[in-house]
Amino acid sequence: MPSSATAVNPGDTAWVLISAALVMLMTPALGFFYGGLVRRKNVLSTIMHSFFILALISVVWVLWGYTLAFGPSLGGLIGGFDWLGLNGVGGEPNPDYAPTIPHLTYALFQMMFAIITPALITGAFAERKRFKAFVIFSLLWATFVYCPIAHWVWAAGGWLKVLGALDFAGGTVVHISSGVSALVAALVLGPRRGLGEEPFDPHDITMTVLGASLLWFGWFGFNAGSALAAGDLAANAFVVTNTAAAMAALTWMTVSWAHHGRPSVLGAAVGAVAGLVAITPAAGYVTPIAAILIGLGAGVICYWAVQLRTKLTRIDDALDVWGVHGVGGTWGAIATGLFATMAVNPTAANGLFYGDPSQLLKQLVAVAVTWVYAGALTWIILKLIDVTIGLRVEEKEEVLGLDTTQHGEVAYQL
Amino acid sequence: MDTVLLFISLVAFAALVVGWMMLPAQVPGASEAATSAPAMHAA
Repeated sequence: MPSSATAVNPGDTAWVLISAALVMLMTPALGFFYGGLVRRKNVLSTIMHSFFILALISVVWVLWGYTLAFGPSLGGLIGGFDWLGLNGVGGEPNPDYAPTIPHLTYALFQMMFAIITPALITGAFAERKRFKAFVIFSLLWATFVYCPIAHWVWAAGGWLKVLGALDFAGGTVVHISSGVSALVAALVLGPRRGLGEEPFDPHDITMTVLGASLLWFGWFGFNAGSALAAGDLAANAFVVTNTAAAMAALTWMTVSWAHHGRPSVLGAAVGAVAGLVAITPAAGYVTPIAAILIGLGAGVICYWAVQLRTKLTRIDDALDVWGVHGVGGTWGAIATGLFATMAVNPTAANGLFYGDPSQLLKQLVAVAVTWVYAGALTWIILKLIDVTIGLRVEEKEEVLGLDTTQHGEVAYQL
Repeated sequence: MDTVLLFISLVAFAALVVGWMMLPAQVPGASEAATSAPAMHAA
């Protein structure tokens, strides 16, 4: 019999199971978000990136992903093979992670995070990456980048967790890792053919807004579900998530309006996503008022990151993964070190504005380590794939579009 | 600290609202483009 301290609570279990389903929805939603942003000839291949990863990482997570990320720690760096194939992960709670839900429920919830993270990167190499290369990249990236970082930050004994870095729902693990990797991927692949010479307008902004809306909906599971219990912390995370998304949507739209002279629908949608990214690491530690300022910062900082990347470099991060997720995640992790308060979460820490400057330093360490590790490993993985099976489609295939040349299908029979 | 953050949030939100009132209400040239679109379709 489990002790009372680790007894399964039906309410908590139901909430985390529903949250896992909400987070699952985010990955196909991301497919629609990205799918609307590309040209018509590449919409299926772009949606397929997200849909395929949903299936691929579901299997990887059961086989070896969960044990590498959350298994008994080997020196704080990686999990051991104790839970290979989810062996030993069952109905009893694991008090190290979530004392009131089945361990299997926790593993399922974490699986959905492992799925969406490599899917985020696909926005950087849209419209030019070979499908085979994408498959191998996703497999290697999930294993050698996602699992170690998740272990450092979230696993019992993980070295960044022991250090005291705070990341409630994945600012470093999910967004900085994917955003920085996206920048490296765009750099290694090179720009799309014709960039700057022909129009690259989104083919269906309605699809993108639908995707952003479903992402916003799913993010309640992502952040409020990360409380791992149906209680006050989940309620706080839910409120601050919605607040930051709203404020960032308003801010991005306004900055864009002032810059380009029109209130862009696409800007509002992308701004909301930037706010959701930025509040992710902070959701369990900050007040609703702090969420307004985090959303405000996300709207301004991420907007200008995208503008500067476009104006100052030739790096073709096609769907602005770095500007939204890499920069938004970095801002969120730093903001956690500024705004965190133990009034919200007595088990966490205070940030700089609540009397503890050391928390900001811990956040900066986590940010720097994630940038360097994710960037370096992604570069190595991409180079290995490039010299073996090749990263890019041929010029003719890129001109014809990836839907036809990679999948033999077209999205619209018009 | 919470009072300071509340004040900053109110000022920031007020700035956005003022911005919406001040920023241009129409995209330059959009009216001409909108009226020419049906003609292009008919052609």
